[in-house]
Amino acid sequence: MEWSRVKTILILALLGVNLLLLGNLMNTIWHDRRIERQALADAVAICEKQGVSVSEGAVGLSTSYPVYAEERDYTKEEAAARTILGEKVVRTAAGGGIVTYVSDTGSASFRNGGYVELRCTNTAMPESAHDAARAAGALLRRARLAPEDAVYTAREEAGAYIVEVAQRMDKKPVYNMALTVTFSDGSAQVDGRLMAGGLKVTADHAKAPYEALLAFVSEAKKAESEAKRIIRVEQGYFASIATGGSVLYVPLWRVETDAGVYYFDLVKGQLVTVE
Amino acid sequence: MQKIKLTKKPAHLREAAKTALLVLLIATALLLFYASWLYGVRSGDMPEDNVFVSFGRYLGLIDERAEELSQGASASALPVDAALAGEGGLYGAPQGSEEAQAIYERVRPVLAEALGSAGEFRRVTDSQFAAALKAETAAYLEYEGEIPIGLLAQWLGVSCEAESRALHGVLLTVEEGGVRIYFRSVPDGALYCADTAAGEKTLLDAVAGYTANGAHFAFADEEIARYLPQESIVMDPPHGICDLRASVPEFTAGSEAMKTLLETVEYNAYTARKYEDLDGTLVYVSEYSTLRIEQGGRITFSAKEARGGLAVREGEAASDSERMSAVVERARQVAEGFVSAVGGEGGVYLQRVSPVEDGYDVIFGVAVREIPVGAGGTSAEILIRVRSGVVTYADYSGLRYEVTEEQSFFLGHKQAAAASGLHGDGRLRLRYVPGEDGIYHPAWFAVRDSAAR
Repeated sequence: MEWSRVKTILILALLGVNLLLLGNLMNTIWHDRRIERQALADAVAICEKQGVSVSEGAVGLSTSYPVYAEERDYTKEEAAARTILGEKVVRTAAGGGIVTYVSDTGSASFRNGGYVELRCTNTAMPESAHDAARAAGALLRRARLAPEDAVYTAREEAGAYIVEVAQRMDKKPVYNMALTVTFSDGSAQVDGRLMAGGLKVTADHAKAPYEALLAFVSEAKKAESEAKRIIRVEQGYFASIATGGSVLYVPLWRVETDAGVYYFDLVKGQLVTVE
Repeated sequence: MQKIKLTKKPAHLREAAKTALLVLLIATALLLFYASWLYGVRSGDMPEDNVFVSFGRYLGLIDERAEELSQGASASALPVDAALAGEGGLYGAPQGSEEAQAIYERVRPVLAEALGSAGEFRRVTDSQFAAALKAETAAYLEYEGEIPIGLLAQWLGVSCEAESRALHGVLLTVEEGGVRIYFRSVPDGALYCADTAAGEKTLLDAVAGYTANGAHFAFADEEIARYLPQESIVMDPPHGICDLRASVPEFTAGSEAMKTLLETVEYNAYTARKYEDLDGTLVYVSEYSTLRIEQGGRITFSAKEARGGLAVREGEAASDSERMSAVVERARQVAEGFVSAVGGEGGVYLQRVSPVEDGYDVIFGVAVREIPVGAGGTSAEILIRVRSGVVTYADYSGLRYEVTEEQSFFLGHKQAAAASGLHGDGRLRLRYVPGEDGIYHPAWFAVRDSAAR
């Protein structure tokens, strides 16, 4: 058969396949949304029957909300330590996932779960809070430890500049990943938990909003909560330490009620305490 | 000539446009395929065998190990009671509550660091241990069974020097700016301690936010200390522990229970033949193994030789602890399969692992809502023998346990300790004990260390 004609047939076939795929995708999304909207309305009605009202718009429809896994990257840690502390660092692995680096210019300690304590001397003191925020970003970038999508907030306290680094996952806050960079007396100290990157989507997933809402109300009642109204639900993540030093980023709801704030694990469907 | 040129040029352009369109359509098809996969995965409603999910796995975009990693430890490793000491005082999670597991989740990372970085373990005296229990910042976890330290370390993803010993409970304290680890060894009862490289902040963070709830260690009460080991957490169990109804499980051909049981021992219609013994026992026979289901509910699996057994996936196990971990995990799957086939409520917990020549004997108990079923001679136990890397024998005389709405009265912890007859030589645990009416009631039971051995 003539090649030109083959191409025409292929084009027509692919057009058909593409239309089919597009139609299937659109239909799935539309269908899911419709069912989800109805299920959420039903769930709100059930909650109200159980004595817990839900403010309008407090719970949104589900967006992409996977569980992520992050492998610990020892090579990256060592490279960061060498960049900040110099090539003459002494590495010690104490066991239990604790690895420390020491040199003349400071020390760094990395632990499972993304915990880091890094102190380096001979650091230029920032001149303002704004300057400190920039210096903190520069320090972390130099060490290739700067988390993506992070927000730096600096303040001056007792002659020191403290920069709080708020880390985000898919534009959502990670509630238990506090990281601070402190500049004082010519030294810089990084303390807290760092997202290392290299994330993989896991086979786990968050409960749909209607399912989560019902589970939350049930768990709150079990915990003898006196909440009568759900005011606002914020989506976020919390970092959980898995075996072997990996970190799992688990979808979480921060539920603001008239009886206080609760954190709700959207995978296990239970209330959790977030540091 | 000119005419030929004029007709050739549009044809050439048309072909180029066709090729470009073809490439564009292929790219769009791939993009739509990927978008469909991504939507399915992210919305999380795809069945496991979906083509898009398989595609993602093939590309390595889905991390299969994550679920396994998140478990941290197999269910058989969870402590039954726990206590945290911090600024707010001592907080205890009694047996029969789910709080011990929540505490375990908080303490797990510190325990992993402490166990993995522990220096040489040294013997300590009772008074040194009592002083450690008074530490301002501490966490204590107590297990129902005897947990080999090497196995516990494996579950936590670390390795530990004191691998050969086993423990019932482990204490972490903040002392001299670091975390120290203590445990009472089983079966000799000797106390050990080691310094670790875990920082005090890790334990301080783990205990933060908890306030005193009336729990205390036995050593803090002179009266109680006469009966119980000083690390026993003294507090009454939660209200509302209900009785259990026990019934003989029914196994009929083709039922879900039977399917579960056959899957557990890796039998199917092609590999096993079925017949009924004179006493009504159902017997499934494969080439090298036999599964017997007695009318009273006893289930036994026995392999005539190693190749008829259920293989343990040891992977690249390099150490004894890694091998033991693989064996216990495989044994747990078999035990859980048996319990699941019997039906009702309940899960398994590790009671004991005994190394024997060429393998291990692993014993699991059955617990309903964190309380073990049976005591002494009536314990619901599952014995699994593993030889040469395969499960060669499994035995469970289990009943089907269901929680009723009835509640029985039982003594408070202090009164029970006084009435237990213990003199610091055993632990006081809650057990479901069968009554004359065939109903299992929760009751205190003195588990003597010698008897546990």
